[in-house]
Amino acid sequence: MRRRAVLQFLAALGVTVPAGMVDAVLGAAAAQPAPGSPVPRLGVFTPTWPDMVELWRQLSRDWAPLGIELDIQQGTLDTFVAQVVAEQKLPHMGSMSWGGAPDRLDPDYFISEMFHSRRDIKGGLNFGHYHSAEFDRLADAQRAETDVPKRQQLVREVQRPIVEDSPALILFHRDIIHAYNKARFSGVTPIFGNGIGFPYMPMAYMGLTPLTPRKFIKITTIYDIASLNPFLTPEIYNSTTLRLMYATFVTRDAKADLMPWALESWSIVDPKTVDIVLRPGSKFHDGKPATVDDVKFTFDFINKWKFPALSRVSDAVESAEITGDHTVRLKLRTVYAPFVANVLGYAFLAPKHIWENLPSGLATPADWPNDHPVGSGPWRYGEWKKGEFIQFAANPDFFIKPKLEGMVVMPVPQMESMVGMLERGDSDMLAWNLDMTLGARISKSADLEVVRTPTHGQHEVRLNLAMPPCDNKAFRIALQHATDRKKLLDIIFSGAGTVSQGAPITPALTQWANPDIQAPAPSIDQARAALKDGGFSWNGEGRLLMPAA
Amino acid sequence: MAGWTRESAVGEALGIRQTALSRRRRIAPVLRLALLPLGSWSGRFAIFVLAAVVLVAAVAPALAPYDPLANHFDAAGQLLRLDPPSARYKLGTTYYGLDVLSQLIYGTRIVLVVGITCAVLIGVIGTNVGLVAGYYGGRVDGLLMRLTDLAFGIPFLPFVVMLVALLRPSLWNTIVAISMLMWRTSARVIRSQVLSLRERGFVRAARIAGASDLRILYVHIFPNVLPMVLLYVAFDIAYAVLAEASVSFLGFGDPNQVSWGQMLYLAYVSGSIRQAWWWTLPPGLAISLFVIAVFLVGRNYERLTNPRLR
Amino acid sequence: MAFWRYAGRRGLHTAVTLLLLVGFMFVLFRMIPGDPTTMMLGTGELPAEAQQRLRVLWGLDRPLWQQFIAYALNLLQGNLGMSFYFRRPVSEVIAPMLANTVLLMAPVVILAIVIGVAGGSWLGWRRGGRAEEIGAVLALIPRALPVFWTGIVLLALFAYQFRWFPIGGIREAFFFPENWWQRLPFFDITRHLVLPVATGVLASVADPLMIQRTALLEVRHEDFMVLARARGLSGRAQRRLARRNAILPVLTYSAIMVGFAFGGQVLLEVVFNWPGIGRLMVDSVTQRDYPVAQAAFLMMAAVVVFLNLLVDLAYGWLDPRIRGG
Repeated sequence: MRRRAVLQFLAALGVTVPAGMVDAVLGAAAAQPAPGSPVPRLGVFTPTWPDMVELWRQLSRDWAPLGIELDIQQGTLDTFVAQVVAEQKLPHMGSMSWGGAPDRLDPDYFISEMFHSRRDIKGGLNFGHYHSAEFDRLADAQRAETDVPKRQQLVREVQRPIVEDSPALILFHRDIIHAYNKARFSGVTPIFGNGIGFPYMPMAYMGLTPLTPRKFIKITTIYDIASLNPFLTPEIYNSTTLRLMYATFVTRDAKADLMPWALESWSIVDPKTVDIVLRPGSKFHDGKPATVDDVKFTFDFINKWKFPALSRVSDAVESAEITGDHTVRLKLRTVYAPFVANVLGYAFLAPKHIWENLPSGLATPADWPNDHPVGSGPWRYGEWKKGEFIQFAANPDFFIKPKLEGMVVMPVPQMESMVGMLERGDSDMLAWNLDMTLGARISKSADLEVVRTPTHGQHEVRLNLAMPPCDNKAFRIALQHATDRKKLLDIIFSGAGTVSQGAPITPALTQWANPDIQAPAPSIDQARAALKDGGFSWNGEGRLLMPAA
Repeated sequence: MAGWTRESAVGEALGIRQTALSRRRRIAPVLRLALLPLGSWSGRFAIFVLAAVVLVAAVAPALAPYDPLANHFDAAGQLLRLDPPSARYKLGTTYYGLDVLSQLIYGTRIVLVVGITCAVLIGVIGTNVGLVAGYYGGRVDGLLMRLTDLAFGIPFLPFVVMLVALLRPSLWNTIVAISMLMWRTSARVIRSQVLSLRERGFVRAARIAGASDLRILYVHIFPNVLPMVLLYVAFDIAYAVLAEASVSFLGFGDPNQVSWGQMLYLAYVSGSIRQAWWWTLPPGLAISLFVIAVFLVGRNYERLTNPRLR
Repeated sequence: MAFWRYAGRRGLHTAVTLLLLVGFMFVLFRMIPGDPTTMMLGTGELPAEAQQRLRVLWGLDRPLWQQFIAYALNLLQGNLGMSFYFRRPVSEVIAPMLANTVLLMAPVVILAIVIGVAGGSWLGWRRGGRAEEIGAVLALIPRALPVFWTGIVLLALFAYQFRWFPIGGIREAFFFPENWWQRLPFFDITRHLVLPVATGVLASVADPLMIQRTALLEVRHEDFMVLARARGLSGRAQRRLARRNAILPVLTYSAIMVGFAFGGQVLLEVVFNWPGIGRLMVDSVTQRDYPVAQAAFLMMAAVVVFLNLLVDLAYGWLDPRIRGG
C-alpha cells in the first residue's frame, strides 16, 4: 500500500521507477516447488550482527549434508522489524535473538507472543505462521489460570507441541556477562535475566556500596535514552531506565521473584479483581506525599489516553476504585495470569499534581518533554545530556535507602571503548553483554571482576510454516537433528550460556521449564532418516528433492 | 574523510585548466597515458603495488592457505579464537577462528570489484552529464547543473547508509549508492572543458560539415576530454575503495563478503582492536597502500592534463 | 551582464536546488520500507491498534502528497516538525548535536587550511626537486588512510597504550581536577579534542595542500612574478607575493570543505564517541526518524549550497567575465 503510494507520488512528479524494482529487491519469493523437484534455495533473513553472520555460516555448512542450500539475506534490525514483523514477510526462515526483558520472565511472553495463532498478524511475533489448535488451547488456558501450581502444569504442557511440531529452532540462552571495579564498589546483586548492571530490575543497584570517597558509580552501557517521559516509550532500555525514578508497583527481588515496590502488598480477590495497598508514607521526589489518589489517577490517566507504550495496562485494567486510606481495588477486563508481573510490574506511580496540570496544546501527554521527572522511586533525576550521560541522585525517602549517593550512566556505543574505560578506571561498571574473551581479558586486572548471570533471552531460528519445504514436519525435524546447539553456543559465545531443550522456556527457569522434553539429538544420519521417512529423496548430485506427490 | 572524498584537490585545480588536443595528436597521448607513471620512482612503486593487487586477486584461491570463511580448531578441538600469528596461521586468526591472511588475500578481489565498478559507473554518468550539459547548454545545462548541485549538497556517507538501509546491505548496493553521488565532480569539470571546446575551430568545422550532435560529442569532443576522464576515473577508484571501507565500518557492509573494511568492522565490534593487532593492522595498511598507489598514478596523469605542472 | 542580474540568477538557481533537495529527501525517506511506528514497536510489544493510533497522531495516515504539502508549508515557516523518536521539536534535537560538531570540526578545518597552505606553498616553491616529490607523496599518505583506521591507531597508541588522552567522548562526566593545570578553563574539553582533531586534520590536510601547491606553480609564470624577479625582489618577498596571489583556489575549496565538515565527520564521531550531528543523522536514518534525518540532511545541503553561492557571487563581483557563463 505505502509503496504504491510512493510510486504514485513519484509518477505525479514525473519520475518513473521500474515498478517491480522495490518488490523484486525486497520480496520474499514464494515459489511452490513441484513434487519430486529439487528443493529450492532456502531464503534466510537475519540481522547483520556478527553473531548472526557466524550462526548462518555454521548452519549453511552443517546443513549442507542434507542437500539443501541457503540464500542468506541480511538486513539491519530495523529492516528485520519492518519486513519480518510489521509486514510478515519472512522468507523460508529467519533468525533473531530476543533480549531478556523482565516482562518476558513470565512464560506467557515467549509462548503466546511467539506462537499463538492470534499473533499471526502484521506486527505480531508469530511471523513463522504456526497454527495449532492444541497449542492455542493450552496457551489460552495457562494465561487464564491464576492458580500457580495448575498454571505451572499447563505451561509445561504447552511447550510439548512446540518441540514436537518444531515451528522454530530455539538454540540457546546466552549468559549476561557484566564487569565492575571491585576495588571501588561492593555489593553487586546478580539477578537472573538482569545481570549486575542492566536497569531492568532496580534491585540490582540497591546493594551497591562505595569503598572509596567517591560515592557515586559510573556505569557504561550501549544505549542512550530517547525521552524522559515515561508514558512515551515502550522500548525496554528507555522504559526501565525511567522506572528507576518512577517506581513500578511491584518489581523483582534478587531471586527474580515478585516483590512489592511502590506497593506494600497486593492480593488477588478473584481472577478479575486485585486489591493493591500503597506503601504508607511514600513521597514523590518533590516532597509531596504519594497517595491512593495518585494511584487511581495513574490508572484513569492511562485508560483515558490509551498510551501506545502502556497499552498492556489499559488493555488489562478496566477501573480503579479507592477502597481505603491506602487501598485501591482494580477491576480487570479479562483474566490474565501474568497480571501482577507484567502489568503491576510495568505500570508506575505517576504524581497527579504534575500530570493533571500539563500545558495545553499537546496532542497527548506522551509528547510532553517532562524535563524534570518527578517520581517516587529510589533514584531522583539529576541531569541528562544526550549522548553523554544521565545522572541520578539517591532518594533517601525511598523505603530501601540506596547506599550510593548517585549513579551516572554513560552511553558508549563501542565495546572496545567500554572495556578501555573500565580498565583505565574511567568507569566503574560495564553493563553491556560482554563475551568470554573480553571477560577473560578484564579478569586479568586485579581490581576488576566479571560476573556471569543466566537469562531467559534466547537465540532462535524461526521457520516459515507457510512455505514449502518448511511446511513439512519431517523437514523441520530433520533440521532439528542437523543443528548442534552445543557446538553453536561454543563457537559463537565460547559456551557461555544454556543450551535450549527446544522449548521457548530456558531450562534455567526451573519453575516453568518442562524437564521431560528434549530437543532431537544432533545427528546427520537421523536427520537424513527423518527426511527419507517424510518422502524426501536425493538426486545424483546429492541435492534434496521434494516428496513425490 | 569520506564525506569529501570526491572533491580531490587535483580535480578542483584542474577545473579551471583546459587542454585542447588536436585530432591529429589523439593517439599519442593514449599511449603516453599508459606508460606515463613509469617515468618516476613514485609511479613505478604505484604500478608495482597495483600489479601485485591484481595478480593476488587473480590467483587468490591458489595463494590463500585456507578458505577465508573456514573456522580453525586446535588439536583439542577448541576454536582458535584470536590466535596470534604462527607458522600455520601467518597473520593469526579472527574472533571466530578464521585465517586473517586468507581473508586479506581474498579482500583484493573486493577492492578491485568495488574500485573498478564504481569508477566505470561514475565515469559513464559523470562524463555524459558533463558532455551533454556543456554541449547543449541552455535549459538542459541548467537542469543537469541543478542536479549536480543537488548531488553536491547531499552529505555523502549518511546518504550511502540511507540507501543501503533502503535496499539491503550488499556489495552491489554499496557500489550503486557510492556511484549515485560521486559522479558530481567529474560532471562539473568535464562540463567546463566542453564549454570551451565547443567553440573551438575543429568543432565548428565538424558542425559546418554536417556532423550530427552525437558524432560531434563522442567523436570530436570526447577524445579531447578523455585524459581528464581517465584522471578522474583513477582517483574515483581510490575514493570508492575508501568509501566502501567506511560504509562497512559503520556496519552497513555486505556481511557475506570478505572485504578489508568488513574485516576492520568485525575486529572493531568484537572489541579486539587492541588485543589482535594482527587482525587490525593488515587490512588498514592494505587499504592505505592500494589507495596511495592509485593516488600516485593519478598524480602522474595530472602532469599530462596540466602541462604547467610538468 | 550587470552584477545584480547575475546575482539574481544565481540566487534563483540556489532556490531551485534547495527545492529539489526538499522533494528528493522527502520521497527518499518514505521509500524506506517500514514506517516509523514499527520502530516504536521495537521488539513487537506494540499492538496493531496502538500502532494505528500513533500513525494518526503523527499524520502518517494521510496521503503522501498531503504530508508533503504540510511539510513544505511548515518548512517555509521555519518549523522543522517533531522528531518521531525523541518527541521533541527537531530543532531542539539538532541544535546541541550541531554545536558539538562545530566544536570538533572548526579546529579541524582551520588547522587543515593553515597547515595545507603553508605546506603547499613550501612544496610549490620547490617544484621539480626531490624534496617536492617526497613531500607530495608524504602529504598523500594520511589522505589514503581510512579515517576511522587512523583514529583507531591513534587511540590505541595515545589513549590505551600511553594513556595521554581520554578514550572518547566530549567531556568527562563529573570531572574533578587534581592539580592546577587540570583546573585551567577548557582543560577537559581540550584533551578530549586532541585525538579526533588530529585524526581529522591528517585526513583533510592533503586537499588544501595540493591545491595551494598547484596554484603556486601556476602563479610562478604570471607576469607580475616575472617582473618581481626582474626587479630583484628577495626570495622571501617573492614567496610572499606568490603565496598571496595563489590563495584564491584554496579559499574556494575551503567553502566546500566547511560544507563537508558537517556531513563527513560521522566516522570521527563514531570512533571517538562524539555526540555530533553525523551520528545523529545515521541513527535517525536507521530509526526511521524522518523529521530529524530530513532536517539534518537539508541543513547540511543548505550550508553547501549557500557557501557555493557565496563563492560564485564573490567571483562574479571580482571578475565580470564570469557573469556571462
